[in-house]
Amino acid sequence: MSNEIDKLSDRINRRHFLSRTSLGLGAAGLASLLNPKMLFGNSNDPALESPHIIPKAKRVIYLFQSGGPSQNDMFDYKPKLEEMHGQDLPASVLGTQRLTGMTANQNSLPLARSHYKFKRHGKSGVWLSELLPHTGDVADELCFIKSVHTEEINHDPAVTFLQTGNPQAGNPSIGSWISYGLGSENENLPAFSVLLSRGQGESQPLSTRMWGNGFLPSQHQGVQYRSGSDPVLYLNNPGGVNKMNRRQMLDQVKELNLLHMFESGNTEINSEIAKHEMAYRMQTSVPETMDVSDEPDWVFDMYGEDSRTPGTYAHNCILARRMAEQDVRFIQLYHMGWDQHGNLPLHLPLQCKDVDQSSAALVKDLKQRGLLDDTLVVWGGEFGRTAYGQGQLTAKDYGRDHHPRAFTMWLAGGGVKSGITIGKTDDFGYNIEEDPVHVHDLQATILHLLGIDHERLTYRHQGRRFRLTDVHGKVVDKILV
Amino acid sequence: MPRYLLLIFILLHVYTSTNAMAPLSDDSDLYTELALLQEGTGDVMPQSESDQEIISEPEGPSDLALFFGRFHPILVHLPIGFLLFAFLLEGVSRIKKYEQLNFAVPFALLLGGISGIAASITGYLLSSGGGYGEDLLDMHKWMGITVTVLSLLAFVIRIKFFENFVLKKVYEMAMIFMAGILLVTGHYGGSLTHGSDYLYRYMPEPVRTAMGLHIQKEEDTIELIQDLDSALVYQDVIEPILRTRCQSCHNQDRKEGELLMASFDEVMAGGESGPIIVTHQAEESELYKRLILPARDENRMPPRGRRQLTSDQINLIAWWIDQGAPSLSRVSELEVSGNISGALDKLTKKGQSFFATTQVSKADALVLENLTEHGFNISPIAENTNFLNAGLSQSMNSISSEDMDLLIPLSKQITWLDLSRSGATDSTLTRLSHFNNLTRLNLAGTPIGDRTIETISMLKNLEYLNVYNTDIGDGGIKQLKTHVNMKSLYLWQTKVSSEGIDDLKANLPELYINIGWKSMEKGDSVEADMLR
Repeated sequence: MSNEIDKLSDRINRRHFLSRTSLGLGAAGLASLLNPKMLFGNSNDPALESPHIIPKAKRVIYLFQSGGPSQNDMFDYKPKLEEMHGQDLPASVLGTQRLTGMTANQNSLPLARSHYKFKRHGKSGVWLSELLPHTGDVADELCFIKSVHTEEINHDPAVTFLQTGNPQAGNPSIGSWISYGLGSENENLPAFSVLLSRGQGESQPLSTRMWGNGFLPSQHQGVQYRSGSDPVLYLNNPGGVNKMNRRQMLDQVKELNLLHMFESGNTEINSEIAKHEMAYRMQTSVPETMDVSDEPDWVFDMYGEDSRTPGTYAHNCILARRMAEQDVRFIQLYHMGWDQHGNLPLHLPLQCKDVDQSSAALVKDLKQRGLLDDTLVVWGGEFGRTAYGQGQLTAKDYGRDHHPRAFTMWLAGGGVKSGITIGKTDDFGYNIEEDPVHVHDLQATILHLLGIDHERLTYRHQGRRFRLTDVHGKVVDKILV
Repeated sequence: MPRYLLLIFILLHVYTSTNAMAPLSDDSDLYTELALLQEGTGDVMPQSESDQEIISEPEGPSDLALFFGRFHPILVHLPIGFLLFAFLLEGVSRIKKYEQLNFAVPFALLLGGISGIAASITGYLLSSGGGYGEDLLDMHKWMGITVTVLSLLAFVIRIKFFENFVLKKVYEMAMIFMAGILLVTGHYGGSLTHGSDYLYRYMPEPVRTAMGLHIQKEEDTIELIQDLDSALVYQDVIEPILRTRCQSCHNQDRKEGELLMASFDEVMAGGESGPIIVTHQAEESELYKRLILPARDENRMPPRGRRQLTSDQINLIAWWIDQGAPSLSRVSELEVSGNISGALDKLTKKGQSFFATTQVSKADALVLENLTEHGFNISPIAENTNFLNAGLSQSMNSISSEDMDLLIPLSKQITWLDLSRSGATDSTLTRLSHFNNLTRLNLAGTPIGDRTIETISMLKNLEYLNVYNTDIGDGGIKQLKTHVNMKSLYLWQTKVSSEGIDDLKANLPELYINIGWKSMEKGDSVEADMLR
C-alpha cells in the first residue's frame, strides 16, 4: 500500500516538476514567499490577457427569476388566448413534444387567458401586463427577447442549464467563467457575488452548485451573501481574535500551505491561499458593502418599501447597485417563487410586486449614475409557462405548467439596443415563429458583450477543453448596438 | 496483381466516361462510340435511350472522376518534391565530396516521373469539373505535362545514354528546364486555387514596385464613404462587399459555378443555375438566399471557412435588391429604413468607432508594471489594440497630482479612465489635457468644478463623460458646446440648471444628457390603447 502511495507521489512530483522549476526552486521560492504578489500573480491573474474584442459591458447583474415566470401573464400578449379561452390547444400547435408529468396525463389542455390587462408602454410601445407598471416605466431602456428557448423542462436541470450551459451538475457557472476569464476589478470583493431572496409564490430549491466553480479553480465560485448581521458565514473573527492575530495566523498558515504545495504540487492549494486572503480583505469590505445606512431615504422609496428589509429582492437590488459601483464583475440575484402550477391569480401578483418596482428602480438608478452604459442587466427565469391551464380552469383560478419552448427575458444596458423587442411567438405564445434565441445563444451574447469570444474561453479538464456554450451558441447580433 | 489491374481498369473507365461527359456539342460520334462500347460489354440498355440520357445532361463529369480528381492537390506535391530533389542531387553530386549522391539521381527522377503522371491524370480529372479560368488552366496543364515528359526523358538518358556526350548535354538542359518549368507550374497551380494575386497580395511595397506589380494591396479593406447622400449604391456600397467577400472565387480565373461577380453586368448575368438576382425580390434572389442559409449548409455562401458577410452587409444586399438592384442610383434616391440607415452610417467616417480609425504605439511594459505596483488598475481594452483602460485599485483610493503625473507616459494609450470617487481635484485633473485619446471618462463623485471641464473641453474624442455628483455648473458644460463626438453626458446631482442643459442641447441635439431619472423620460405610456 505504502508502495502505491510512493508511486503516486512520485508521479505527482514528476508532473509538477516543470511548473515548479519555472517558479524557481529554493531561493526563488523563498523570495516569492516574501513577495506574495509574485507568486499569486500566477493563479489569480485572469485567464485572458485582455478581452478578445472591445467590451461593451464591464459587469453583469443577472436577476434570475427562479421557478419560471409566466410570460403569458406578464410580457407576451396574446389576444387569441382570450378568444379561445377554455378550448383545447390545437394539436397542430402542440406538436409531439414532451410535456411534464404534471400535465401529460390531463384529459385536455384548455387554453387559459390571462387575468391581467395588457397595455403598451413607452415610445417603443411594448405590451406589458398591469402587473408590471414600473417595468413599463423603463420599457424604453429594455430589450425584450420573446423567443428564448431551453431544452430542459424541470427546474433544477433548467436552472443548471442556464447557469452552466449543461443540464447536468458539475460545470462552472457563467459567473465563474467570467471571473476566470476576466478576473476582478476589485481585489477586495469576490468577482462573482450571489444574493438570494424568496417570494410568497411556490418556490423551488436552489443549490450552491448553481453558482459553483465546477472544474475551474475554486476561487472563482460565487460567494453567497446572506441577509442579517452575518452576510458571509464564518467571515468574522471569533471572540478573542483580533485583526492582528488573524493576520499572523494567516501568514503562518500560508507558509505551511506553500510548503505543502511545493511538496505535493497540488495547485488547488494556491486557490485555497487566495481564498484565505480574499476572506481577510472581505472582513472589512463586506460590511461596508452590505451596510446601506448611508443610502438616503429617496433611494428606498425608489426601490419600494421592501427595500428597507434585508433579505428581500428589493434590498438585494440596492446591494447589486452598490456592488456594481464597486466594480464587482458578476452580480447574481435569485428570486424564488415563480412556480405557478396553480393559484396563479393569487401568487403571481405578489411575485410581480416583489420584483417590478425594484428591478425597474435598479435600471433607473444605474442609468442616472452613468453605470448602465457599461453594466449589462439580465432579467429572466429558467423557462416560461404554458398557454394552457394546469388542473381545473375556473373563472377565478388557474395555473400553468412549465414551458421550455418559448419564454421572455429582458436585457438592458451595456451594448444592448434599448426599447426593442426581438423574437415572435405564434398566436398562442407556444412556439417560436421568428428569431429563436437558445440558452447557449444567450450565454454567447452575454460573453460577447463582455468582450469574450465564447468559443475561445476554454478550460482543460479530464483530457479535453470545455467551454460555457459547449459546441453551440451564436451571438444574437440583432440586439447589439 | 489482379488488384492493380482493377485499379487500371477503374482509371480507364473514369477516363472514358469523363471524355464522354465533357460538354461537347459537335462530337456526337463519341456518344455513339460510347453507346457501342456499352452494347459491346453486354449493357442491356437500349441504345437510343442511353444516348438521350447522356446528351440531356451534358455538363459535369462523373462523380468518380471528381473523386480521383480531388487527389490532385495531394499528389501534385510528390513530383515537386522528387524532381527538385533530383535536380539538387545532380547539382550537389558534381562536388567531389558528395559524388556518391549521383547514384540516387535516376531513382528520384523515376519517382518524380511516375508521380508526375499520376498528378497529371488526377489534375485532368479535376479540371473536368470546371470552374477554372481557361487560359491559366491551359498553361498549368501543358507545363505540368512538359515537366513529366522532361523528367522521364532525363531518367532514360541518365540510366542508358549518360556516356554519350551530346545526350548528356541534352540531359543537362532537360534538367534545368524541368526545374524552371516546375516552379512556374506550381505557381500557376497556386494561382488557380487561391486567385492570381495570392502570392503578391501581401508583398511589401518596395519589392512590389521593384517587380513592377500594380496590384491593389488594400484588396481586403473597404474605403470609407465620404458623402453618404451622393454615394452610388452599387459602386460604393454593394461592390465593395462583393469584392471583399465573393470575388476571390467568382472571378475570371476561377469562375465557381460559372458565376462572375467582378462587374455589375456579370452579377446580373448570373451563373450556371441562372440569374442570381430577381429585382425587387431579395427573398427570391439566389444571391440573398445563399447568404442566409444555415452556416453548415453546403450551399451557403461564402462557404464554410471563408470570411463571412456581416449581418449589416447581408441586410444591405437585401435592401439593394429590394430597391430594384439599380446600377447607378445614389443612396439619397432610394428608400432608407432604420436599420439600413444604421448600416450605411457605419460605412462612413462618422459611423466608425474611434478605435477603428486611430492607432497608438504599444505601452512600455515596464511603465505598466510600475503603475500596477503603484496601485493603478491598467489593462488592455481588447486584443489587437494598444489602447488601455485605467482606474484605481482598491489599495489606492485617492489620486494626487503626483500620481496623475505617473500616468502621463501612457496618455496616448489610455482611452478609458475611471477616477470616480477618487478625490481627484481640479488641479490634479489639469493633467487630463495630455490624454487626448480619451473616449470614456468617469469623474463621478469627485470634488471637481468647472475648471476641469475647461480641461476636458480639449479632449475632442471623448464620447462618454460622467460627472454626476460633482460641483460642475452651467459655466462648465457651456464649454462642451463644440463636442460633436460626445454621445452621453451624465450630470445628475450637479449645479447645472435646466437652462444650461437647454443651451447645450441646442448646440448638440444628438447628445444624450442625463440629469437623473424622470418618469416617462422617453415618451409617455399609450394609455388604454387596447385592453382585453
